[in-house]
Amino acid sequence: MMEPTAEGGQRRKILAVEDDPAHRELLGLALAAVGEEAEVEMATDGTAALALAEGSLSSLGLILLDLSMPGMDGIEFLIRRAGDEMLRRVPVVVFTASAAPADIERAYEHGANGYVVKPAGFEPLCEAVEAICRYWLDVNTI
Amino acid sequence: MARPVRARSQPSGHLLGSFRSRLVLGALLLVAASIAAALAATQLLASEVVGEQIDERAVLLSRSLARSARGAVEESTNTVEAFAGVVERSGHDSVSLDHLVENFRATNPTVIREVHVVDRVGRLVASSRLIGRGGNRFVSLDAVLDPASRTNAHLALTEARLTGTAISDVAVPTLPSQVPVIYIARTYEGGAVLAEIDLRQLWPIVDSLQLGETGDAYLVSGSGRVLSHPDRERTGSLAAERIQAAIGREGIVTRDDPDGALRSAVSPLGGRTDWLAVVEQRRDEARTPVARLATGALLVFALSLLVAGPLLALLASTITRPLRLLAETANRATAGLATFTPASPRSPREVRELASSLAFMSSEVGAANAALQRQLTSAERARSLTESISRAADFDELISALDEVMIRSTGAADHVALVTFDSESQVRVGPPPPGWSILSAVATTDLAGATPWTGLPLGRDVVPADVVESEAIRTTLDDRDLAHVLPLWVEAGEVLVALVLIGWIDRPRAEQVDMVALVSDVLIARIRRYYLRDRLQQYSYELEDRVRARTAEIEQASSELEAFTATVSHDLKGPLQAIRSFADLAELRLDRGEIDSARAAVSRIATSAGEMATFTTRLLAVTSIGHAGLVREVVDLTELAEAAADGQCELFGAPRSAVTIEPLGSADVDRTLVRATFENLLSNAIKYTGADHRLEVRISRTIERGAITYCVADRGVGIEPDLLPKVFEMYLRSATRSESGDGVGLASAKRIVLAHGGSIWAENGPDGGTVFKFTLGRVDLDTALPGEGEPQAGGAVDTGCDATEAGSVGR
Repeated sequence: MMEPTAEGGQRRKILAVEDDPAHRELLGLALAAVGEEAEVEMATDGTAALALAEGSLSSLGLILLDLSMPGMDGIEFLIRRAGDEMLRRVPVVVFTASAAPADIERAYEHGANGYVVKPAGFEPLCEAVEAICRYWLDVNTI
Repeated sequence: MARPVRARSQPSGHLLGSFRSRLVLGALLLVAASIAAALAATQLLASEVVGEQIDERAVLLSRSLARSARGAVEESTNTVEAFAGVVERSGHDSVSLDHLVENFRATNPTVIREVHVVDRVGRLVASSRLIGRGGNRFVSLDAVLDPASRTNAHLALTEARLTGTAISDVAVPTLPSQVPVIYIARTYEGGAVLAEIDLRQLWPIVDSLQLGETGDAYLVSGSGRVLSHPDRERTGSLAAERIQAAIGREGIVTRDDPDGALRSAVSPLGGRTDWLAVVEQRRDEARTPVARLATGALLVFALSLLVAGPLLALLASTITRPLRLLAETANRATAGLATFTPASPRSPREVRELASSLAFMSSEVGAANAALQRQLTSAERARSLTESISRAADFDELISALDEVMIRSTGAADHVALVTFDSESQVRVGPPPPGWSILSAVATTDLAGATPWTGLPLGRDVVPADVVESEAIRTTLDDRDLAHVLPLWVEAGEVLVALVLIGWIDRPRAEQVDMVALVSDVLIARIRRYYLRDRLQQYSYELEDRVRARTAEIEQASSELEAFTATVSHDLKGPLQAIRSFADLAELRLDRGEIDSARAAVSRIATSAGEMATFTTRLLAVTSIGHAGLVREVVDLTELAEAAADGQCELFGAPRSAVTIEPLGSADVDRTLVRATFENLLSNAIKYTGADHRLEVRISRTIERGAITYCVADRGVGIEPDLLPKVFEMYLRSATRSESGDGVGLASAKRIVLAHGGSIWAENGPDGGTVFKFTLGRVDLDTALPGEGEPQAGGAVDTGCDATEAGSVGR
């Protein structure tokens, strides 16, 4: 499980899936603020995310996934990912406003690697994003 | 077959003569037992044929009885032959009376006295007492019970034997569930009782009664039936009733049993000393010794009932014939026609007495046979009549069936009135069939105001007291020998009819009385069962339906609430978080002096706050919509839709020309809410028309299923068919749609429409796109547009509501 990344920098692209434009913008700002040098791609729903992910499988290091989205939602995305041998290797952290136990359960049930409730406030947001990135990009890979 | 008895002419000693007379008596006892059993079986068979009306299992019972009958007759024949052989061999000491009795008892160990049939809820469905009047029913337990319950009954009987219980109630509650009835057989063991009685001791007791000196003797059973009287014309259950009333039910009543010798002699009969009553009536002339002996024989005969097994009387004549031959032989011997040498001075007298007794018994059997035929005929008639009643499809058929029952089968009711109530408390008097005298006065004056009874269960006891006890009925029935009030509840066709059948007979015959009681009991049992089953079924269905409906409602409400909660938590939290974060960001940038980028963050705050305000407002709108909150006024819907379209097009930056609005007429609705509905449907159509589809929205109205229906049709991507019914659920967004939405719009539209008493649904157009349709409840067709009045006359129909048309409109 805990295996220091040996590929440093090879797989550092981040895919953020978020339908709300405000949150997309905030996420981008936070990633920039924490000094994350990774390339960040944004998708507004699961369908777009799948297309983007398939296109950059080799370099994709992390997917930040919102749950409620129009079109293909987060859970549906997780289900599709579970059926994809390659995509399964990319860690997915659900990053959403919902702290409902049912949502958390469903996310893990469908293969999410982490579940982080989006904090309110820019500082906490940055901290959360930084923690997620450090853990999933630098410390742990699957 | 039985052979005539020929008394031997050889000389006999006194002892032998005494033995022979005892032997003859013993044999007489056995034959009498057979006759008694035959009599009892006669009644049983008759009553069980009627019982078939009550339960189909009686058919099975009847068959078993028929089988038993054949066996029993053979057995009786054998007994008579054995008796003949015994008489012939009377010179030999090797055959003893006790041996015969023992043999007989061994083959008939158990006797059931009464059989009651009770259904699972404990109502008495049939009873040997209830069917017919008095008498005793002998039936083999095996014949009554099915194989499974028979085992239980035998266990109970065995237990009764072990514990020394002479009479026991055998209840068999553990029947398989598909068996609808429980039989309770009241039994006792005849064999054990018999062994305790020295029948020879009864002779001096009977002699000591000196009945012949004082009058006629009747033997009356505990249930009131006169078992015998020398004057056959005067026996019968009505006479029995009178006697019963005179003497009560207790004990043996004779004037000449002061020391209770007879009572104590029969007391070993399982304590059933009430079973026999000897009633004497004074008669002027003195009794002859023959009559005395006959009385004694009758007593023995009655006692032998206790040991009789399940023998049947259908072939009673086969017993009669050897008996008659026996009597003839005895008579010829007495008259000197047969060579018979008296062994002692007592012998000729004994033989003469025997001859008289046998002759009497022969006539008894003949009478029993005739009674059997009568009862069978009556029972068969009753069966077909009750059948015709249950088949009656309407009131008139019912009346005619009842007419049959009360008049033709009994030949009884001189006067019958039929008063009926239907479900609406209407009192009707049946059309007078020939021979009926209608109590129209009773019906109109006393029963008109009476409330038909609706409670459970049915039967004599549920007739409203004010009906049965009505003064007019009572007065009418006063001074009648037999009056019968029969309450019924019959479903004739679709009408539930309550009936009170009132009949009376000025000079009833005994069988008329029996018949009336029998028919009414059968009817009541049948009707009650039919009615109860029906009601029970109905209640059960209703209950199931209600439970199902309530469960569905609760589940629906629960899932709606869940969806609502999810929406609120997510959609309020999202913008809040954004606001908070942008505020932080603005502060950060201001600290760094980056005024422009700080302004951008503040502007995002404003945007998010605006979104949130909108969302909150719409959420509030959804939750607060209710029937009570509507502010109805007559609104020009065309104008309303135009305004909504203006606003939505501006909001989404869509060309206003993409929305076509046809005349919609006016309606009495809540202006704000209906406008919100148009807005919701419009924004839905605009948002979900994908980039590769042309934006075309068309609002029109039509008439569907008699209701004015408003249509909002788009040319967008459509909705997956299985999602169509669910689009109005909160926060469900179609996977095929890419634009964002909060999912509240359609839910809100649905609530608004429902609050107006209307309905809303979505359909996919044949050429793509979605048509949302809704009605607004009580909108009068008066407001129909010119030319739209007839449902099919819809120019409006064709111009609006299907996607093909919508497609051709556009720009």
